[in-house]
Amino acid sequence: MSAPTKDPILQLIDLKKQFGEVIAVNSVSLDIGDGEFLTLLGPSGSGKTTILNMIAGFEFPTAGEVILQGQSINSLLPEKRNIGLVFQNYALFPHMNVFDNIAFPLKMRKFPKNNIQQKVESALELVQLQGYGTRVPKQLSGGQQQRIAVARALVFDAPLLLFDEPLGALDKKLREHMQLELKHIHTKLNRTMIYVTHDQEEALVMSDRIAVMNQGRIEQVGPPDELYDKPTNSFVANFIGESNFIDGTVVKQDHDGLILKLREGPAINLDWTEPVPANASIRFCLRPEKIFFADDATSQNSINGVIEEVIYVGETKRYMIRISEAETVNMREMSTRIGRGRQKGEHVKIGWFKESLRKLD
Amino acid sequence: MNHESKLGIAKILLGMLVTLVFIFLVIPTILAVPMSFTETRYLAFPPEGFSLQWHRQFFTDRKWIEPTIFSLKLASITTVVSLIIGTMASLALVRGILPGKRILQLFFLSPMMVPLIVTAFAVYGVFAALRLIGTLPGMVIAHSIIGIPYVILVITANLYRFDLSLELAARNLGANAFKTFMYVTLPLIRPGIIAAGVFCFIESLDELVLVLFLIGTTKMTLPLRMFAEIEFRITPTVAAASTVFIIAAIGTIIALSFIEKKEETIGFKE
Repeated sequence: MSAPTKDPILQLIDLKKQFGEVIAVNSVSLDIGDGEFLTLLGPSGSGKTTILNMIAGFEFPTAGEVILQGQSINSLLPEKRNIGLVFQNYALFPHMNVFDNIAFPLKMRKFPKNNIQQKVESALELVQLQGYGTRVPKQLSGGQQQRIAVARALVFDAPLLLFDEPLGALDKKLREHMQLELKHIHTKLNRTMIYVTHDQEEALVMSDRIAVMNQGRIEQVGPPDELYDKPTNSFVANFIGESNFIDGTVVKQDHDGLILKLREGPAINLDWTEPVPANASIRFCLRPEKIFFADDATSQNSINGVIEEVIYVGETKRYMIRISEAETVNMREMSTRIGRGRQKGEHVKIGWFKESLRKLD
Repeated sequence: MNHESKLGIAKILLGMLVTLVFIFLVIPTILAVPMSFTETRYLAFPPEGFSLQWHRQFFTDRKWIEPTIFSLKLASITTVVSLIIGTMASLALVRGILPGKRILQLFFLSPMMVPLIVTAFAVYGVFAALRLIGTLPGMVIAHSIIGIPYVILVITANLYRFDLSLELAARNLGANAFKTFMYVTLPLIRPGIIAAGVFCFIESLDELVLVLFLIGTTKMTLPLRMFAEIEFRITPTVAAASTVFIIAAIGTIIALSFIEKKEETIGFKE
């Protein structure tokens, strides 16, 4: 696991949450650096929202600790934590107008009146909704409500902001726009943000670091490019982007490389120097876009196969190539690539560069 | 006969039924109004002449004023007590972590199912022992037995539909549990509270069975005064009192419809 770049503002130490028999969060430890944008990414039910709820104080950990700025906040009530939270459904107060919604946290903190006025206005300005103070939430579009929710979470200068799938209800265009806008707000305010989503693209676009979660555990933490290029296990390789898995048994390894017997298929020769135990079953990951046609390649880092399907998807072309009785690999090629088009049924040799191959745990 | 004309006949029959219901239920109520303006010393229909003397008597005679004031006082206190206890019970039933919540809820609603006369009889025995017969607190407790279940019925329904994330948001933004209730929960369940409150008030103002058992000898409520008047001699003042009741009821309904229009059902999950 890679460490945060700065001193941690928030530390999760061996955090666990159990609901009856179900373990929602299982021994999660994570440091979040000051000013960092960290995303908890995972499928629904992976425990990411439960972690957020424990940080916000809505759930009490079964075991472990939440430490904010060096202090354990486990037993602190939600209203004492001073953490901003943007809810999935916005949770704007429907009986208050926009101004009163944003002013609510300031009133609770007994800010002087003219200070409230000024802070609310600058928060509205930050989310580009100046002059919307007298509207009620019902009169606003989903995107506008989302911005008000962000303004309300920001306005009381909390050192830590939490986002619980805040863009889930918006359409694709607006979601992409809001992703960039949130990113700009993060850059501008340099406030620590923890963002929960199941959308890997969103996570890749916005985050400094991503923690990939599965079944209550963190599978891998790292910057987006690291997670994409160097996934350590099948779950991460599959959840972030697309992956081909190459499963096989080690036949022989020497200084020339590694001979791997594919499952129900031929043996292939890989340029792999990292030692692996003899006769071990191992799994490699290979991204579809890192495969190319290599008719004249040497025998190393290549496999023979038959094109089973050609799918044209606009800027790319996909090929499904059968390499053994058990496996097909998925290959992606830019449509602009010059060269002859490959046909269904054609026998091909595909290859890849040494660095493209990742061994998974 | 074809399908369409069958439907036409059904419509006509339904119309007739509704008209009959209206004639037998609503018209007699409204008849009290003209009858209260009669000049005669007895109830007469059609009323003879025009006179405000019976209304004047209702508003000036101590025999009428005192029961009216007592009834209003009783209804007001009953409403406040029922709303506070009923709302607190509803919060516990919906939000609380209690074992056997469903059974507890049924228990709280049980006074609605027990015939009032049975409740009255049982309460009489207990109140006699506690010396609560004929006292205002005793009457308030008795009427709250009717009011509280209704409040619980309305407010729990409101709370079940309430979007819980609004309360979590308030807590997150720095409001403690009490402030969250005052600034977020209460304003959003206000339509339910108003409806339940109006019901409690009218129910208490109108109630006679519990009053007959528990009023004792020194006090008098308005319905009891009207009942007593009808028993001995039917004076048009009873009609005048009814008229005041009717006007108050219509006024309340109009006021409520305005409030409802304004509030609609904000703050609830779709």
